[in-house]
Amino acid sequence: MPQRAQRSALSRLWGQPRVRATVWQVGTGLAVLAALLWFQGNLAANLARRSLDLGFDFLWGPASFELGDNPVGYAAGDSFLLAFAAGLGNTLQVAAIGIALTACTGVAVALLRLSHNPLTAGAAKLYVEIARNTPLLLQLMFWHQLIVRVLPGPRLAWNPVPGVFLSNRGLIVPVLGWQPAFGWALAALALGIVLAVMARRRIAWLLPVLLPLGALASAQPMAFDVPVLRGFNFAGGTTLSPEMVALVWALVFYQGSFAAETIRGGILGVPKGLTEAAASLGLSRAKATRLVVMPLALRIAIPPLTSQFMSLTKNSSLAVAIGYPDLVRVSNVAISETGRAVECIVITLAVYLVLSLATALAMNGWNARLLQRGT
Amino acid sequence: MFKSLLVAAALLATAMPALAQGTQSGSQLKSIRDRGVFKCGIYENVPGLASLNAQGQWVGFDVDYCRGMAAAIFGSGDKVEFVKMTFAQGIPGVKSGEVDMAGLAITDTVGRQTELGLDFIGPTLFSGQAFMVNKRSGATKLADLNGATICIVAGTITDSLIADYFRARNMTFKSVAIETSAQLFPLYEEGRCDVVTMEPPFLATRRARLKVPADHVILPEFFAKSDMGPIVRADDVMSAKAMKMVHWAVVTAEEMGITSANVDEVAKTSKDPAIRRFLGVDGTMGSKAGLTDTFTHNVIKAIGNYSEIWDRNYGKPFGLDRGPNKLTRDGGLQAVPLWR
Repeated sequence: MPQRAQRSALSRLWGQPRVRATVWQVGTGLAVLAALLWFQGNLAANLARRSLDLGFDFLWGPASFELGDNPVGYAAGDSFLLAFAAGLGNTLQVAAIGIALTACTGVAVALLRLSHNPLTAGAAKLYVEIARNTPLLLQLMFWHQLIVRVLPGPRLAWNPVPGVFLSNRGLIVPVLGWQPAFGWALAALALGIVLAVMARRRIAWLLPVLLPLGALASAQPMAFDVPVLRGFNFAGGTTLSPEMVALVWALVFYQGSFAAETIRGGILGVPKGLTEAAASLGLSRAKATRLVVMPLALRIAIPPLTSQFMSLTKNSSLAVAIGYPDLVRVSNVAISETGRAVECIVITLAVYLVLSLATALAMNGWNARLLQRGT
Repeated sequence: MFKSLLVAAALLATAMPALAQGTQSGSQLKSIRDRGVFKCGIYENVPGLASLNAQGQWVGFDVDYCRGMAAAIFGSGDKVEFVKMTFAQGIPGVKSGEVDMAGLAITDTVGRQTELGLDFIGPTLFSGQAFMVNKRSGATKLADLNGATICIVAGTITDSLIADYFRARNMTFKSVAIETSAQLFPLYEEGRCDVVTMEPPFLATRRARLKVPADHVILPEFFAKSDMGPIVRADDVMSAKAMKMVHWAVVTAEEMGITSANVDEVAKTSKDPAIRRFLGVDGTMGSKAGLTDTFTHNVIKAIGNYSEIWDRNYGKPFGLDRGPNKLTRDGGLQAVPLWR
């Protein structure tokens, strides 16, 4: 008798959905953990058998290769860690500019395609169909070849404005010599924005304009670092390399067509009654688009746009094909110099994962804010 | 990106027990024999080194070494599976066991032999790192190259050697790193970079295919030495040694005057004990090394001696002089152990 009571207690427990769910989830979790441990054990055993070991010590060793222009200031002789940071900086640079331009292109092309003018709508459609129906890698090589072939060499560089040179080595422009006043101006700008946000007054937005100007008043006379042709190349100024231009251009050209279609879908997804209501209130077409249609269209478009921005970041790794010094380039050199293939690939994968998750997080945050505001 | 991911995937995959092959001494040779085919990594299109001919067959200096390995192990130079690779894929490919050997003209360095655990066949090709520039640039010596934009193949030893060279002399340069030399030379020709750097044999074979070869000059100075050869794994000493013997065999054959045309005849008629030992007519040197006694005969039959390999790939098509790659008795560097 007691045995039977026990069994019925167990089966009663099993009868509860919550208990059943917990058991299954814990079981699945343990199975996944066991599989991971098994993989890890295998990897360790086999690496040991091939007398390979895993470790990230090499990151502190000196890397002796040139990467070209990078935001971190890495040069040959610095550590691999700094080289990876430089590659990451270049990747981020392209991704950030690319995402901003893709968003603009997407909105513009979507609106053009919805225009009632058949010529504009047709041109937008033609662009979309060409851009999204050809492989990105080919587009990338096409634009790079175009830039390198069409533009003249440095000695015959186009010189549209004094100090600005356009050649197949890139766009070279003068830069302002750095002085402490610029630092103060940047700080003043940040302070101004913070104050303006806190003041919640429209007039307060004059602050971020006036404060930096005040800081600049203390500056020395402006000294420009003007590029000059010396020997093979231009010395001085700053260079926008053909590889970077081609990469950003190709990514925006390709990804912009997808963004345009997504946004167009979002706009068409706004109920017709709402646009008619806006019109009956006397709003102009432009105002109705800005105040009624776009906020609602964005709600529909943001989730798919998020994944397009993520694929832009990931697609930037195609840069290797044209020689833009991004993260993958650093990883490839590190592999052939140190033989740390597993580690380098793990670093690269982890970086792209983090970048994608960060993009998703930011976009989801924006989406949540839009939904909350209930515009 | 995707290629290096594939390599990493291969590295991880071979780490799995189901696919793993043993690494005990001599077992690499055994696993190649069990597989029935020699897996050899080569470039997709580097004239002279590896390319497809009009008949759709792989030809080239390192391709010949791949066939030589197959001839030594299986008796037939056709039992090769060619795996197309970029430079950056070669070392991970060999270490993971994706290929048995990578014939990518990789420069022999101490670091690659110790830290990376590789062994080198040869060096099969003695050379150095040199620059090629357009004549219009007016550069005639290395010191003229300050500030130049230089095209290099990504991940090669050049990538770091060149940085060392310029840094040591307070010179600057900008690098454009491209994955394959097939992509690199069009960019150089269109003027994306002023200078391209590589070993002179490869500069010369590439120059022959530019639009106006006479416009380009290879600067005579070397900025570093570069002695190259196919790479194999170093952890399996006996297997690595057996593969090295293929290079020793082709050089010894040249010293003895044995060619692919006369090897059958010589093996039958020669009374010279040294030649009889070398061709495996007498003695058991081949089988003691884990191969067959007559493997030298098969290798010479399949690919010829060193001078034939040179003429077929560099001499006849590109008119390249052997330079330091002559036999030691002719004042060159091609020295191999005495066959005894």
